[in-house]
Amino acid sequence: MTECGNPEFRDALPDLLHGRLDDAARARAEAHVRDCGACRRELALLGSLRAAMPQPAVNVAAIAAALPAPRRRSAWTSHLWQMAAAVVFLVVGGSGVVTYLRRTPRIDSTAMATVAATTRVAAGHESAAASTSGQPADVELAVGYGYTDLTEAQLESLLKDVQDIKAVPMAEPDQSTPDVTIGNGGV
Amino acid sequence: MTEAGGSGDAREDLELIEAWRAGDERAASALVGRHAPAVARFVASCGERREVDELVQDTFVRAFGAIESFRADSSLRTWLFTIARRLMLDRRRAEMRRRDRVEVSEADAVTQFDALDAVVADETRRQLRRAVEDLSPKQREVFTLRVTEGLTYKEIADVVGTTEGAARVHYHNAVQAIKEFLDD
Repeated sequence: MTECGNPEFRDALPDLLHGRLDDAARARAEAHVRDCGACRRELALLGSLRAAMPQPAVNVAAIAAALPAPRRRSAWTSHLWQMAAAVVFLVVGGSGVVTYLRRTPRIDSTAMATVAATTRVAAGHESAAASTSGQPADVELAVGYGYTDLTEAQLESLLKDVQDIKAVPMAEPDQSTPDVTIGNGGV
Repeated sequence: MTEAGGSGDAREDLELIEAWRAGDERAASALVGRHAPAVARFVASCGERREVDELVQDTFVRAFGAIESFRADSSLRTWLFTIARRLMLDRRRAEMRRRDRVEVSEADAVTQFDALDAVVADETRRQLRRAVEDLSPKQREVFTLRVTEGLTYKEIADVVGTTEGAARVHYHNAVQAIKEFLDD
C-alpha cells in the first residue's frame, strides 16, 4: 500500500473522521482526500477500525450510584473558619500595635515644653485679641510641662517656629461656607 | 443523556461538576452518561477483557473522590482516560504478580470478550480487532485514543505520559503495523 507523502493531511485524517476540524481545514482535507487514493484508503480503514472496536455497554445508573457524596463545607465549618480568621486578625493586629508603641521614641521634656510654650504663646495672642475686641479670653491651653526653665534664646526660637507654622498652607481646603447674595437680599 | 462529542464540552462538564458538588445527583448521572461509554471503549480497546464495567466504575469513583484535584487545563474526559489507564496498569501489575504464584487455568482464559467474539460472525471485524490487539501496548493506547476517541496528540501525550512528538510517532507506527497485519 503506497503512502501519502503529505504528513499534514495524514495527521488530520482521524480529526476528519471525528469532525474535529474547523470549516476551512475540513474543506482542505476533504479536497485532498478526493485527489489522494492513499489517504482515501487510509480514511476508510480508520473508519472501519473505529467501527470494529468493542462497544461495551455501561450501566450509568449503577456507576452514578457508586459515586462518593460531594464534600460540602458545612455551615459550622464556615463559622469556625470565620472565628479563626478573627482571632488571627486580633493577635496579629495587637502584636503590631505593641511593636509600634515600643519602637516609637518617648517625647522628651524639652519637646513637651516646646509644645506647652507654643500653645501658651498662641493663647496669649488670642487673649490679647480678645481684650481688644471686648470678648473674654478662653482658658489657657497649656498641655504638659511649663516653660519657665527656657532661656530667652529658646523662647525667641519658639516664636519663630510659631510664625513658620502659620506660614505653612493648609493641606485641605477651607470648609467654611461663603456668604451668597441673591438679588437684593442676603442668605 | 447524550455522550459528549470529541473531548467533551468542557464548559458543560465544569457546570455539571459544580452542580454535583452543590448536591445535584442528576449532574453526576449526566457526567457518567457523557463519558462512561468512551472510557469503556478505551478500556476494552486497550485489551481489558474482563470486568470492563468494574474498571469504568472504579475510574469514576476515583475521579469523583478526587474532583478537587481536577484542573480545567485538560478536559474531564482526558483526565478520566488518565485515571482509567493507571487503574489498568495497576491491575496488570497485580495480575502479573498473581500469575507468578498461580498457574492460569483453562477456564480463566475463556473470557466474556471471547464469547462475544464467537457470536460475531463478521470475519473482517475480527481481523481488524486482531490487528489492533497485535500492536504494542503503547501503540494500542495511542491508536485507540486517536482513532476511536479522536483525541489530539497533545491530549494523548497527557494521558499516556509522553510528548506530542512521541505520540505522533506511536500513532503512525501503529497505522503502519495494522496495514502490514492486514496485508499478510
